[in-house]
Amino acid sequence: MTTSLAALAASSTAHTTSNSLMSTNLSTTNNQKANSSPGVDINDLTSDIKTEFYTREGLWKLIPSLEYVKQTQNSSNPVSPNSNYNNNTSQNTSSQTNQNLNINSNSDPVKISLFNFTKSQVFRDFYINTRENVKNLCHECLKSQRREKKRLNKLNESESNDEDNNDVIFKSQMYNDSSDEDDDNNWSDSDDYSQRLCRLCKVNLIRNDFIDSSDSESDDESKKNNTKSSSSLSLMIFNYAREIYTYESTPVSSKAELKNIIDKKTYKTVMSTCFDINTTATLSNTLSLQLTRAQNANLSNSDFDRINFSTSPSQLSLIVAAGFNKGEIHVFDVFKKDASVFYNNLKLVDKTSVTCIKWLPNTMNLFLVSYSSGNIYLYDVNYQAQSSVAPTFSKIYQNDSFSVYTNNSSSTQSNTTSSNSSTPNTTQNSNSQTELLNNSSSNSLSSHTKKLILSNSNQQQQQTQNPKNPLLKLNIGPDPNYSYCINQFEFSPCGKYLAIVSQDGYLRVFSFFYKNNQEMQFQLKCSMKSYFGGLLCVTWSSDGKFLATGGEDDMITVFNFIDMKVACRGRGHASWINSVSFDPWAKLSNFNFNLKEEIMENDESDDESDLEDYHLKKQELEKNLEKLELEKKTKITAPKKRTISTLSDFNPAHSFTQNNSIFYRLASVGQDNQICFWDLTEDVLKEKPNRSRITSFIQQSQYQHHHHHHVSVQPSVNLSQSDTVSLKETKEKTSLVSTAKNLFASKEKSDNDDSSISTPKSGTLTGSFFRRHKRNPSINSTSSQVTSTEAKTKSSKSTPIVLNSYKKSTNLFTNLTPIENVSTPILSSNTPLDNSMNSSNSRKSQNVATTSSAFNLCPKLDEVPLIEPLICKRIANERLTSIVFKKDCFLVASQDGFVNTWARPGRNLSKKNKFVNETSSTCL
Amino acid sequence: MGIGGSTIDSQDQNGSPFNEHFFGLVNFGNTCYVNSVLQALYFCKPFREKVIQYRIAYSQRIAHFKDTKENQTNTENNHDQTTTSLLKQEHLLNCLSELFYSIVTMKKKKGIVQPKKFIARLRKDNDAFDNLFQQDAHEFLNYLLNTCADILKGEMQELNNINKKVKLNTQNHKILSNGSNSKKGQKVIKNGSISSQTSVNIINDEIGESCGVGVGGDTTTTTTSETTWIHDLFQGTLVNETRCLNCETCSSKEENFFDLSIDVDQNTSLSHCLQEFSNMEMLCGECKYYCETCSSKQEAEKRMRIKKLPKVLALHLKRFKFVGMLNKFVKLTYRVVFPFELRLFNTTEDCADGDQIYDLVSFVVHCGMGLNRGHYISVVKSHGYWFLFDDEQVEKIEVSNFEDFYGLTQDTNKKSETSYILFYESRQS
Repeated sequence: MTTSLAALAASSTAHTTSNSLMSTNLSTTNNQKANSSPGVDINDLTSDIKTEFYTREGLWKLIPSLEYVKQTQNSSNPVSPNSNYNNNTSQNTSSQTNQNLNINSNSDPVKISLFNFTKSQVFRDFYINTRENVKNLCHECLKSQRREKKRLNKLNESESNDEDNNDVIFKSQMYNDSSDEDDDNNWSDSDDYSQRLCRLCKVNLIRNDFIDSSDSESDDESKKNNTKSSSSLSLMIFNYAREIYTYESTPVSSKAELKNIIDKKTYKTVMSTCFDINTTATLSNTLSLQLTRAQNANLSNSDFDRINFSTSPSQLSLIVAAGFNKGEIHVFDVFKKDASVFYNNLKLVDKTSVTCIKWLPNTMNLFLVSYSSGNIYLYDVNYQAQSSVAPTFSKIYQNDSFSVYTNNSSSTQSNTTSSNSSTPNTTQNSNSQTELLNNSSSNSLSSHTKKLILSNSNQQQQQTQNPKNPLLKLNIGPDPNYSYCINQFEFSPCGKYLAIVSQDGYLRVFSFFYKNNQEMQFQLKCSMKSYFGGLLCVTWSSDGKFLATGGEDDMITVFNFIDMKVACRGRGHASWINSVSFDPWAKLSNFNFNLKEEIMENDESDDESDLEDYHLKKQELEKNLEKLELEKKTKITAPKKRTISTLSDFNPAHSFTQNNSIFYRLASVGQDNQICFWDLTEDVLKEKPNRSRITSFIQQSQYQHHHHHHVSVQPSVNLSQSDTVSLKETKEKTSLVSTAKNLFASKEKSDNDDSSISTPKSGTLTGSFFRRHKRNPSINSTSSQVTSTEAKTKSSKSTPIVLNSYKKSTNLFTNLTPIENVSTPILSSNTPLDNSMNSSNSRKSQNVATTSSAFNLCPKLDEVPLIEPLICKRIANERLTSIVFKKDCFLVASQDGFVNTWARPGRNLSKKNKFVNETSSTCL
Repeated sequence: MGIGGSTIDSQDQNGSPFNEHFFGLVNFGNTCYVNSVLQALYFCKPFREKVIQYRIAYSQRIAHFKDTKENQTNTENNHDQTTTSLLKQEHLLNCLSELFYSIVTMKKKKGIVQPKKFIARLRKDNDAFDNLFQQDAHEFLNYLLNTCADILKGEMQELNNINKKVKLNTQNHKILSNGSNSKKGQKVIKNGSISSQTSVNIINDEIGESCGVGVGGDTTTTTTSETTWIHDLFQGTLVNETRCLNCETCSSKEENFFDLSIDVDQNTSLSHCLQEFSNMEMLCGECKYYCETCSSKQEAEKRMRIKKLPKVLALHLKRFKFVGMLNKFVKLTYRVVFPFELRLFNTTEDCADGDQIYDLVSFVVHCGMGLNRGHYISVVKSHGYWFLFDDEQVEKIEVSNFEDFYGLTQDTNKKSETSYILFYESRQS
């Protein structure tokens, strides 16, 4: 101890700061004796790894008994990708002893994923995801059923028999294994459809009650009847080096020693880098298995609710896709040994490491996989897994932010059937081709049913099309020839958007829709750049309004997806950030926002904008009376409020206004072995630091469009077709591509600026115009009539002056224009206010609005709020790689293969923690 | 060579032809510390360009000198001699430029070069390097940059003196033009071929001014000596701000640097270490601060921030700590991650382009455990690809292999290959 201190003291030279003693010097563990400097352990300061820490909610505690550990390495039967894997379901002896692995743990991060089988969820998720409104479905159960029938009849007149239709519906919902065909037949003999549907709906409602009442005294009968352990099953999967483990995850409160290992897959030559659970397929497969079981057990209707989950493979299904460091992909069912497929086994598609893999939301069969080569591929498990020839891709679209390729390898029709039989969720048989092609990702019950029936009747319809895996190749970034490693991607909670972070430091959010090769949409919505270095991780808030990234600048960056701007940055980590996660169960307690103070700070007045405020307010007030009262209050206390704060007071999305406050809890873990908690509060997110006013202003106005005028809020107002890959027919394809090319060419001509990457706008020319003429005095003069207070801001910063004035003007006619006009910039010239300006200018100014995200791609440090972590604690001996929140705890994984459980404060769980946002599942 | 060559060959065949020369450097007995630094500097483009420019200017000087000699055989013998000594003298920069120039002008794209002359010169110039021991690469870098800067300064001064003498003695214009040409050589080359006449004019003006001021010659010398291209590339300015805790007086002192030596910690990032470098430090106990106002030693707060960012930011990670007990240096194999792109957090408010973005261009890696043992290699970026130079060998490497260079999170018996000196180049906007 003394020696090490001496060493440190001696080494601290003039340039050294000595306060580094606190945490970082000591991190290595004690197994240091093998060092070449015998007798001196520089690192042998007591390791101050925290096992508990406080936040204002209380004490978070490490639960040592719930520590999931990597298994010993002497795996007897490793599998090579070609052979069947070996299920090692023996009881785990969690040995921490064997830490000296032959594996370079540097390069393979441990990821965790959780899966909850609750009875209700099995039903609920499958339906809720497909249904607009569950309650309607239930209350008007019979009605809806009739509607379904009508629709079905309309769609497929060849199917005359209603009963038959019902059966088809059920089959389609359940995606029964082809081997279970007998069971299907049984089904058709059993209860009639309406009863079943009712029951399912009931379960749905029960589930909703769970959410609302947080498991507190539920009066539904199924709850009474079932013990907790059987009504739900929680699983946890994590990968470490060559293994993928599946554990049964016991709740924190049960105090049970955990570690009922369910499955362990060991691979011979490759390291697993990532994996993802297909929720949709898992739930539907499990549902079908459960229903089958119930059927076989001859349960009466009343018993049907009593579904037990045990880890017996016959009752469960868990579809997982895993990626490996040599490029392979393994899709398997944890509970079924025979269902296993490898993709890219011959590395013909991509040789580099898989960085992230994700199933498309609400699909059974499609997944996206990203590689460190910078490409993303789309696979369909229903198509042939392997091909002996390297796929050839043809570019169907390119712009300066991404390019799309289809796989146009010559297809062989005959082998579809065989490949299908080997897919893990062997739900479709050979005639499922059509069904698949029509299977939209929205996957609503009705449309889905329709498609399946169509497929039954018109089996030969689209047999000629036989795409091959990978169906699509996406290259993100300006130059397809020189692309950057894609570090992670994540679908938004609503499933419509895809956020991608890459090594070039960009976060890019795309709207993503894939139906088939002819119907797809891939469109850049917005982008953001890290302060410097690559972005390593990304996550969505549960309401889809915010994104959080972490990266090589040691900072978390919170991106406001609605306003499309950087909301804040957070500094606290001492190294790169590997994983970020929102805590959906965190809620605001005893937190008082003092809006008034904030308002008083900016007491400059702007008459004109006050007027607009009034308009805005009026609109808003009609919607929200509560808000009115708040507004009145603020009016009284601060009548001279500055525009920006007024607007921002007004803008909180609907869910926010309910709580009357914005609050998000974010946790990040990094390579400094530390965990940081961040509280994103209203005053941070409605930021008002000196320079950022300007930018926030415009985006606020943008936001208004969406909030008021779009039912399904689209974050970007005017998006040109040039950036959209929306191809219905080959004719259209060519025409669209050509127009896109034209636009692209013109864009190229006008501007090659980097920032144009993120301008997904129609008038790219005008966008570039703005950028070039930022300081053009003529623009300034035209806009000067609109605003009076601009001079004030000039002192703050030189560049965005014009932008500022333009934002003002944009804002003005945004507020005054009729709703219809807002979304189209050209129409906005009709507005009275616009008449005072010449039309070209107005169009420009609109484009200012739309390009603002580009302008603020990477705001300077002092342009966005910089927050500090709530807590920042060293909690591991090795780099932390993953964090996942559960209702009663959070789980962190570290590079050395430990997955630790940390109990939430006040652990009599679930009683105190409710869902903050009921609307968490609603899309933007 | 064979290994290195083959990978690059295959790269060329892969359809990414780029005009770059990859030449390994022969190791003359533990000279990998030289080789690694030279390679890292060679692939630091602005530095290489300047060195090549120097070489070209140098050869032109010689050519001019010969012309002069032929044309005026019977004038000013003693002046010629000084010029000759200036031109003929072999020094480190000379050898370096010769070496770089030979690589650049190679017909082949790959191969091996023997930096024989350079090593010989280095050993002759500095006793510390005049042995077969492994040396500290950072020390060498420091020495190299300082020596080159001194040489350039000296040359400028000398030329200035010559010019002054020429002016004072009212020599004929021809000699002046030659002298001035050689002086302005580097700058002339930059713009391609400026006619000698214009450059003569410029120089004449300059000298005229300095003479007009009288002692102006000295001022010119000092100003020019501050701005050799070495300074231009590598020199940044630190501000040392000290606040006496007794009288609250703040004092700030500026100092220039060619590279920053920063302390490292386990599991940190480079930018964190840089930040720590600038964090507030208490001067107390034995290292109290002598306050001018209080006229006594007082406790004080001190921090170092960067006021002027250099074009090329050379960062030296202090991986060797002297352990008093053992009386030797111990290597810290800490894992310190470094990004390809860097911005500094520790600049002063008045720093111009304080959020300047830097790109990693090359870095020197130390392999092994001891300061005087082990091996140095360098990793450089060229045309978007990364190459590893290990003395004679050149290999293309993947970015995914960089994990190894960050360091170790625990001390194992594993061989440590840790980044040691990193070169970041500022990105032109």
